[in-house]
Amino acid sequence: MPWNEAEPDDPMTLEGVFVPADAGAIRRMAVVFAEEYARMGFGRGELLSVFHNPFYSGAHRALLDLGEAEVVQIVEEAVSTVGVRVRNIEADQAPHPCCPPDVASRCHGCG
Amino acid sequence: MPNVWNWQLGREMDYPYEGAYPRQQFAFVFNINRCIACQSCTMACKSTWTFSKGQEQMWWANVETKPFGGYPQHWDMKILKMLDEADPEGQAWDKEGVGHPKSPYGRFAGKTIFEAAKRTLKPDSARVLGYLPSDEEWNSPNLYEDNPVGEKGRKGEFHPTGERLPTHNTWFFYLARICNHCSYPACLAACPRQAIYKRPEDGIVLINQQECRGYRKCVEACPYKKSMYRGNTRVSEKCVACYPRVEGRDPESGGRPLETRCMAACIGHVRMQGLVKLNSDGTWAEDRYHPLYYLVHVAKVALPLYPQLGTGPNGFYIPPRWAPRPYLRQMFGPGVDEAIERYSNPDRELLAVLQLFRRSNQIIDRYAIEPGAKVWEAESNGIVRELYNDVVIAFGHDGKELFRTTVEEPLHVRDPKHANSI
Repeated sequence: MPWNEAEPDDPMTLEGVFVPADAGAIRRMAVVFAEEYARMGFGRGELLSVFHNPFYSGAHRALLDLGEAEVVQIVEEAVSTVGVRVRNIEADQAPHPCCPPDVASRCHGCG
Repeated sequence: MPNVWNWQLGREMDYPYEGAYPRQQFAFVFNINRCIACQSCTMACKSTWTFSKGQEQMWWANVETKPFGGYPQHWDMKILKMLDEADPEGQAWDKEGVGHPKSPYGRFAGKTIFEAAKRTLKPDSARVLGYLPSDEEWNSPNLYEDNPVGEKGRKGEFHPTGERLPTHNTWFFYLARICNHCSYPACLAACPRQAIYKRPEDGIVLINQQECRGYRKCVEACPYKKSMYRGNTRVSEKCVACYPRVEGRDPESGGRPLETRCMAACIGHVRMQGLVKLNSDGTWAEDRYHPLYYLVHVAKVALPLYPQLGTGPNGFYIPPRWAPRPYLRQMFGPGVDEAIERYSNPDRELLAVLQLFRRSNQIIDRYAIEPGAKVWEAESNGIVRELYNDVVIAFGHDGKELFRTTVEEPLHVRDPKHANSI
């Protein structure tokens, strides 16, 4: 495919679009970051390192905006509420049947 | 123009035809919070329905990145701008009747695409405000989305120190879309040949390929741009809601109604589709233990996409809880704040119903919950969160049990030897 430099009046050129967010949006986003990673098993240290690492630009932006203290609070809350807890652990790798027995033989999910 | 009741707007609305409602309505709920834009749905649809010559740019199902992305590009911004120009500063909601089943989101005080057409379009025969996207807007379903472009002029290379570039004011989420099989389809309203019809048995909207002459009025009118023109056959095509599956005629189904291909392929447990019962005025009949009825009308966590357009879309979305609220209110209407609050702090029943997503390919007609033991409790922001390991049971259209599952999912530990293999 030929590669042409975009011309200035090309309507299909990617342009940075800033869509303003309301005041609480950054904090809400940070809470979701923290909770999602906490659910996956990240501890306090690992979670904080995500916010400190500029490679994770969304989380890092939240740290710059909210400050260390607030992010620590968010992380603490996420780990203590939705973090990994004792739960049913099954070593059995057999897939769960997703269909009634008469349909299971035709279902890819049930194998 | 006749008046019809649009429950999503909480008021009567102009529509070119009298209201005519199916016995059941094809409907679906997408949970945006779970979508990672893997495009499994997109490819399931593509490989089933639109893999032929002339359909290369045709994606009945797609997932786009909001707020930047869109297929066709800028589809929603364009129609919203046209509506705003037709009714400057008037596109607002009031709280009249809010919470009532006939007006759950209040009353929309602005103009729909049918009402705005009367003010702006010439000739008078034009029925729906809309536009025809250009070829360029159709040709890249995910143009630039999620693709770092690297340094200018250096194709195929990431910026070597990209992670150290200034941070951006960025937020986004993924919006999965198919035809909404609307209660008041704009495509149907605009077709001069009456080639588009809504099936009385399930409300699926189809184009009669024998009758269509490819005038593209439906492409112009559908605000969601889910009617598409095929150049080599010179007729328009659209999502058919995998009707052989919904009818239970797919060989895999054993005669039971199956969810569509895009639903069944969703690995993220984002999607649930079903058939909801309707009242004679088009509102949803009370069906307390139907999962879609529960999510839309009881828990009120699932909201229609751009309800202000007036077509009565039957696709409902659980809004992303991290995105800025003004944008979400524009996209899903005034129910957004309540929906996110309930989804973020779910009660027992909502947690159980959320487990029904994608446990089976069969259409769920009813659910029941058997109480389980309390397995967890914690406090957050002064709110006590509890988790009960309830059992949720799904039943099919024939009343037979489809499956049962628990709220607390088992954690499977993969053998370290195969930790990263499939």
